[in-house]
Amino acid sequence: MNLFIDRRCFHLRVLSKISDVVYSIEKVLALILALTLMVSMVGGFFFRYVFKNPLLWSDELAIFCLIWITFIGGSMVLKEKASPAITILVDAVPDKYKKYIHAISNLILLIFVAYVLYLASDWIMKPNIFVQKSTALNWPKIYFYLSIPVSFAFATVHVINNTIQSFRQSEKDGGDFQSSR
Amino acid sequence: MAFAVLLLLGVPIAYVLGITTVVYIFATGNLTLLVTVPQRLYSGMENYGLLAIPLFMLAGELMNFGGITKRLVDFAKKFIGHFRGGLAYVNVAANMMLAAIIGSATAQIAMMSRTMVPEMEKSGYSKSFSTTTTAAAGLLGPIIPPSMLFIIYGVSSGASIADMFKAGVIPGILLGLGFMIIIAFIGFKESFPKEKRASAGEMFRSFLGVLPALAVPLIIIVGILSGAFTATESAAIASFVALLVGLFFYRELKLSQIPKILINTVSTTAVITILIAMANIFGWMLAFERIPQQIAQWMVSISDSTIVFLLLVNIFLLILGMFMDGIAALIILVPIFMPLLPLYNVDPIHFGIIICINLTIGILTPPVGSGLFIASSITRVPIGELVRSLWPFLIASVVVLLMLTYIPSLTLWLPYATK
Amino acid sequence: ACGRDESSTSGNNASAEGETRVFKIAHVVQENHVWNVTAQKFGEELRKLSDGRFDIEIHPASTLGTEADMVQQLETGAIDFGFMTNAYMSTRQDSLNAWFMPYLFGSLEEAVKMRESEPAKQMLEELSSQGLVGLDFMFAGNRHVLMKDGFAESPKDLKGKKIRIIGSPAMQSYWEKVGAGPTAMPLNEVYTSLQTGVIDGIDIDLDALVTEKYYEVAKYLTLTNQMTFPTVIVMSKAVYDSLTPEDQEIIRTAMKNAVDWGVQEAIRREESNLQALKDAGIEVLEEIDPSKFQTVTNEVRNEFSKKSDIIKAFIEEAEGGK
Ligand code: NA
Ligand code: NA
Repeated sequence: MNLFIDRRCFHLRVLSKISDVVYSIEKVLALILALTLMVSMVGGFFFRYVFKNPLLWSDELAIFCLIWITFIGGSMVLKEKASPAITILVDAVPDKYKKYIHAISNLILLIFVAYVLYLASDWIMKPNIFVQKSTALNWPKIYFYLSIPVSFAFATVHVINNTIQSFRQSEKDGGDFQSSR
Repeated sequence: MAFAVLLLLGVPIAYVLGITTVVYIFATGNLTLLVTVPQRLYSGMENYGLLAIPLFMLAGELMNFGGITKRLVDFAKKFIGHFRGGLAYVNVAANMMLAAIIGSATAQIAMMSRTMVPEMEKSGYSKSFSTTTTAAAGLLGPIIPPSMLFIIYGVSSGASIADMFKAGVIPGILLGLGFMIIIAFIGFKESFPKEKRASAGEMFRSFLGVLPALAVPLIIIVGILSGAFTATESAAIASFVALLVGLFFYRELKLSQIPKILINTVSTTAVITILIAMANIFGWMLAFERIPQQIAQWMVSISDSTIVFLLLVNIFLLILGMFMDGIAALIILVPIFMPLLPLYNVDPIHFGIIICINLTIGILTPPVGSGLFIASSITRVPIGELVRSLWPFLIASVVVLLMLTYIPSLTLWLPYATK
Repeated sequence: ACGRDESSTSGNNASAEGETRVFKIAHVVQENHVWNVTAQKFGEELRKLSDGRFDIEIHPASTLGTEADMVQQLETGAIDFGFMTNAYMSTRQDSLNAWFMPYLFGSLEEAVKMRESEPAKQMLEELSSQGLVGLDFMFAGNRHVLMKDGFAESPKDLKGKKIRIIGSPAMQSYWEKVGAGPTAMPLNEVYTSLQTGVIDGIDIDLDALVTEKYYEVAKYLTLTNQMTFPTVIVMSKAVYDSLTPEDQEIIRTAMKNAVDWGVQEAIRREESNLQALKDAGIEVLEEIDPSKFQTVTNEVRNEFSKKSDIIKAFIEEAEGGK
C-alpha cells in the first residue's frame, strides 16, 4: 500500500518536473523572441527614418515573434496560473468545495488544449502547408504555423500537471477532513 | 449556456471563448469547421497593428524598472501638492502623465497602487480613499493614448489606430478634470491635508530631473498627434527611449534586469493576445452563423434615431461591462456594431471612443472588475468598501461618457484638425 | 449562445425536397465593391435558373477570416464559394501571376478580353489540385500609381521611392526591379503614412482610391495600367462534386451571366471613378509610354514565364491580341 502511494508520488513528481523543464524552455524562448521583436522594430524604425532605406523584412520578423509570443506566452501563463478568470462562484463556495471546482475547470481546460493540439497536428501535416512561403522573409510558413502545435503541446503538459495537482489537493483535503473527524 | 457555466467554474476567459466555439460547432453538427480552428487561431494574429501591444508593454516595464515612474510622481507632487487634497490631485496628474506611456488600466492601477497609496496614507488620507482615487485615475490609462483597447478596436474595425489615439486625448483630459472636481468636493467636505509648498529651487530641480522621463510620453503623444509615426513605431521608439533613459540617465535599470523584464513582457502580452486569438475564433463562429446581422436587424427594428441608438448602446455596454472583460467584449462586439454605424450615421472613430470608455468603466464595476480586484489585492481594502467610495468617480465617468456620446466634436475635432 | 432553432442551420448538407439550399459566399472586400455586387447578381441568376431551389448568403469584408482561412474552409466545404483575390491566390499557384505581368493590358477592356482565353481556363483548371473548382475571373480596376510629388512616367520617377503595394510575388518583383522600395503596409495605415511621407506613393486601383480618399493627401495620379487586379471565383470541390450534373450546369451558367454583367459594371466604374477624381481636382496623366518600362517588363515576364508555361502562353496571346 505504502509502496503504491510512493510510486504514484514518484510519477507525479516526474510530471511536475517535466512541466518545470518545459517552463524553463518557454522562458528561454520568450527571452529570445521578445528581444528579437524589439530589435527588429527599433531597427526597422532607424532604417526607415534615419537611414532612409526601409528594411523590407523587419515587420514580418516582428509578426513572427508576436505570434510565437502569443502562444508560448499563453502556455506560460497557464503554468503561472495568471490567466484572468471569473472567480465569483469559486470565491463564494465554502473552502472544502473549492478544490472540486478547480479540478473540474482544469479537466475541461485539459480536454480543450489537448483537442486543439490534436487539430493543430492534423492541420500542420497537410500538404498545402508545406507549399506556403512568407512574402518578405521568404521563410516557409510552417515556421510560423508550428507555434500552435508546439505551444499547445507545452500547454497540455502544464494543464495535466495542474489538473493532477488540483485532484490531489481535493483528495488530500478530503482525507484530512476524514481523519480530523 | 456553456459559456456562462464555464465562466462561473473559473475557467480562464480566453479559453472559455475557445471552448464555447468548439462546443457550439459540435452542437450544430457542422464538423468540417473544426479543421479550420487552428488556422483561424493563427491568422487573426498575423496583424501589424497588434505589434504595438508587446512594445507598449515593454515600454511600461522598462519605465518602472528605470525609475521613470518615480520621477513623474515626484514632479507632480512638487508642483500641485500644496493645494487642499494636494496628493489626490498629484495622483490624478501623475496618472495622466503615465497614461501617455501605458496602454492598459489594470497595468496602471497595479503600478500606482504600489506607489501612490502608501504615499497618500503617510500624509493622512484614509486607505480606502487613497485606493479609490488611484483606481479611478487608472482608468485614464487606456483613454489617453497609447491604448491597448484603441489598438484592438482599430485592428478589428479597420479604423485608423492613429486617429483613435488622437480622438482619446480630449476625453482623457475631460475625465481627469472630472476626477479632480470630485476630489475638490470631497476635499472641502472632509478637509483633506495639504503638502508643504516646494521652494522654487526644489521645483526647478524636480523639473530638470523629470525631463528625460517626460521624453517618453512626449515622443508618444507628439509622434502620434503629428502623424509622424504609426502607433507601432511610436511604441518601438518609446520602449527604446525608456531603455536609454533607465540605463544611462537615471542608471536605475541594470542590464541584469533585462531578461526578467523581457519575460514579464511576454507574459503580460500573452494574457491579452491569447484572448484576442481565442476571441477571433469565437467571432468567426458568430459570423458564420450570421448572428451579428441578426442582432443588427433587431437593433434597427427598435428605433431609427441615432440618439436612442447610442443611448441603448451605452446602457447595454455598461451592463455588459459589469460582467465581462473589456478586451474580450470589444472583439466580440465590434463586428456586431460596425454594420450599424452607417445606418445611424455614426462615425467609427466616435463610436470607438464610446465603446472603449464604456468597457474601461467596467473595469471598476462589480461584480467582475479586474481593476477592483487588483487594487484591492495590493492595498488590502475590501472590495465592498472600495465600491462604496468609488461611486462619485464612477458617476463622473458616466457623465463624461454621455458628454462624449452626444457631443461628437469632443472626440472628432482633434483627429480631423490634424489631417 | 446556445439555444437556436434548427431552421437556421442552413446550407451545408441536407437539401430535402422543396427546401431552399443556401450557399455561403465569402470574400474580403466591402459591400459596395464591384465584386460584391457581382456576387449579388450571381444570387439573382441562381434563384432564377434553379426556380428558387438555390439561394446565397454573402459574408463580405473578411468576416469568415483571412483568405488563408477561407481557402481552408472551401477545401472542407464549410464555405461554398469564394471570391479570392488573385494576389493571394498567386502565392499558392504560380500560373495566376500571369495577370500581374507588367504592361500586358493598355486598359481594363483589354484585360477583360483575356478572361475567355485558353491559358486563363487552364489556370482555373489547375486550382482543382487545391480542392477548388475555378469558375471564372472577375475584375476590379487596373493598377495605377498615385504619388505625392510628380507623375510616374518612367522608372526614373520611381527610383528610391517608397511605394505601398499588395503582397504578391509578381508585384513584389516588378516594384523591386523598377528600383522603388515596395512596402506591404496595412490599408488603415496608408492614409496617414502617405500624408506624412512615410511612403511616397501607392500602387492602387481607382475604386479604392475614391473610397479611401487618398487623393486628399497625394495629388498626382498616373494611369499606368501596369497590371490588372482580378478575383478568382472558386467553388468548393467537395460541394461541387456532390451536386448533380444539371445543378453544376446551373451554377456555371449563373456565374457566367453574373460575371458577364459584372465586367461591364467594372469598366463603367473605371470611367466614373476617373471622372470623380478629376472633379476632386486631382492631377491626372492619362497615358504613358510603356516602352520606358520595357527592360523591367521583360525581366519580370521572363522570370515568371520560366515558372509556368501557362504564363508564357498567356503573355503571347495577350500580346498577339493587341
Ligand atoms: Na495610455
Ligand atoms: Na465590471
